[in-house]
Amino acid sequence: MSGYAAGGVALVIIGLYATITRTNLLQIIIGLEIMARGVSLVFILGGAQSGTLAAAQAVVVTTILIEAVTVAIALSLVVAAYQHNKSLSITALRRLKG
Amino acid sequence: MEVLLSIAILSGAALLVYLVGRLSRSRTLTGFIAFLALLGSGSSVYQVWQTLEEGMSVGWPASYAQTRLQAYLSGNYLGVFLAATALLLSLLVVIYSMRYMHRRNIGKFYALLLLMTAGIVGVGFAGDLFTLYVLFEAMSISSFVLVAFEREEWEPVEAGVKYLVLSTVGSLLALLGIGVVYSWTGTLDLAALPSLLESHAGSSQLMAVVALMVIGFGVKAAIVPMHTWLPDAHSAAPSGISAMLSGIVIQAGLITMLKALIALGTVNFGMLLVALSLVTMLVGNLIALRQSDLKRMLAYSSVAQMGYILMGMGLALGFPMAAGFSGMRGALYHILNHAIMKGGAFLCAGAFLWVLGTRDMRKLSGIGRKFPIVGICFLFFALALAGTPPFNGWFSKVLIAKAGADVGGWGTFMVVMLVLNSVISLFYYLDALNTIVFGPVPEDRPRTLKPLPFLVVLPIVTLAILTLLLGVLPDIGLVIVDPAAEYVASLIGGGM
Repeated sequence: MSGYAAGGVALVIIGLYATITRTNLLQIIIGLEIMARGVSLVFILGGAQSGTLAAAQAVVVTTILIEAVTVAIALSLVVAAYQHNKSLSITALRRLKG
Repeated sequence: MEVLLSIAILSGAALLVYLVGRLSRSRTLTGFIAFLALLGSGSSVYQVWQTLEEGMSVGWPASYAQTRLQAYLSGNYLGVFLAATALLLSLLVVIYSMRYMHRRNIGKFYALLLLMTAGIVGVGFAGDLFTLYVLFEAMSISSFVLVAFEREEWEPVEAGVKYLVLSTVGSLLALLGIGVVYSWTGTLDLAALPSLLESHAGSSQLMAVVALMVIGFGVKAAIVPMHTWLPDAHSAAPSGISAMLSGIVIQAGLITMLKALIALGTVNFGMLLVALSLVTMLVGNLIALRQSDLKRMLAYSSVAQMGYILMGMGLALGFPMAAGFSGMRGALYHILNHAIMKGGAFLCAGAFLWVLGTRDMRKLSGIGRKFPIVGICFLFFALALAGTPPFNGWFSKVLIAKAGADVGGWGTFMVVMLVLNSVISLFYYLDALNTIVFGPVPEDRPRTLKPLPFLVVLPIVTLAILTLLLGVLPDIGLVIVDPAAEYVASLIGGGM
C-alpha cells in the first residue's frame, strides 16, 4: 500500500517540478493538474487503508471540482495575458517590480 | 445550524447579487443587497457567540460522527472573532465600492466579494481539515478573480497569474499534508487528531507534514520567502479588494495554518514560526522603505505586519505555559487592529487613486490638504501602522511585546527586534505622510478636482474613528479578542 502512496507523492513532485521549471503558462497549469492528481491518489489510498473509502471519495470529488474551477480561472487569465502580449511565456510576466 | 447559516446567507446572497447586478446594473441596489446579506450573516455569528457564552456547543452537524460528505462546521470563539473582523471590514468595503467601482460588472464584483467573505467566515468555523481546505479554497479562488478583476489592464493580469499559480501550488502541498494525515488516522476531525497522532510524535514523517502545512498555508499568509506574489496582487487589485486582501485574507490564511498546526498537536514548531516572523518583519519593512508606489508600500508593510502577528503566535505555540494566552492575545488583537488600520489606509490610497489616477507618491504630493477629511484619516492610519500611541496599532504591539517579555531569553531579543522594526516602519510612514499630506502641490495639477463621493469618505472616516477608539479604549476590542485567545490557549495547553 505504501508503494502506491509513494506513487502519489511522486506525481506531486513531478507536477511541482513542471510548475517550477516550465516557462510556458499552459505547461505550468498542466503541472498543477498533475500535482492535484497525485494528491487525489494519496487520499484514495488513505481511504482504502483506513477503511473509510466513502469519505475519501467525497473528498476527491470535491477536490476535482475545486481544481476544475481553479483551472478555468487560470485559463481565462492565460487568454487575457496572451491577448496583451501575444505570448504564452512567463518571461513576459516580469513587468511588475520593486 | 447558525454556524451553517452564517456562511449560507453569504453564498446564497452572492447568487442573488449577481442576478440583480446583471438585470439592473444599479450599484446602489446590488450594494444594498450585499450589505443586508453581511448584516444577516453577522446576526447568525452573534447567535453563535451567544450560544457559546451559554456554554453549549454549536456544530453542523451536531458532532463529527454525523457528518456526511466530509463537511463539518463547529462554532468556536476563534471563528467568531475572525468572522466579526471579516464582516466588519467587508461591510465597509461594500459601502465604499458602491461609488468607487464602475457600473459595469458590478454584480460580479459583489458576488465574488460575498463569496470571499463566506470563505473567511468558514475558515474560522471549519471543524475538520478537509472542510478547512475547501473553505480556504473558496476564499482563494474568489480572491484570484478579484485581483484580476480589471482584465483590460496588464498589471492585474500579471499579478493574477502569479498569485494563482503560487497560491494553488501552496494549497495543493497543504492538501498533500492533509492526505498523509488522513491515511494515518482515517479521520480529519480537528478535535480528535492531536490524540490520534501521538504515536507519530517526533517522527520525521510528521515533521514533513508540518513543513507541508507551513509552506502550503504560508504562501497565503505571505510569510517570507513565500511573499513574492503579495505586493503585485495587493497593489493591482481594486482598492476595496486591496483593503480586504491585506486586512483579512492573509490573516485568514495564517489562522488556517494555526488551526491545522494545532491539530497536528505534539510537534513544537513555535520556534520555527518565531524565526520566520523575524525574517518576515525585517524583509517587509526594509523593502517598504524604498517604494514610491503608495499601494505597493502598504502591501510590503502588510508583509511586515504579518511578521508581528506571526511572532505573537509563534511565541504562544513555542512556549504555551509562559506565553500561550498573552502571545495569542497580542496576535489576535493585532489582526483586528491591522484589519482596521490597513483597510483604512488602502481605502485612502484608493480615494487618491480615484481622484488623480495615480499611485505614485510624488504625484500625490499635497493631495491630503485638498481633501482634508481623507488626509486626516490617512494621518491616523499611517501613525497607527507605525505603532505610535494613542492609536490602536500601538496597543496590540505592546501586547505582543508583553508575550516576548513573558517568555524571556529569546523572547526579549524578539521584543528588541519588534521595537527596531517599528522604528523602521516609522521612517517610511512619516515619509509618506510628509509627501501626501504636507508636501507641496505640483504646479501641473488641475485647480478643480472631482469631489469624493460621500459613500467613499464614510467608510474611511468610520475606520479612522475605530483606529482612535481602539487605541484610547482598548478594552472594547478585548471583549471579542480575549475569548478567542483563551480558546486557542486551552487548545495548545497553555496557562493564563
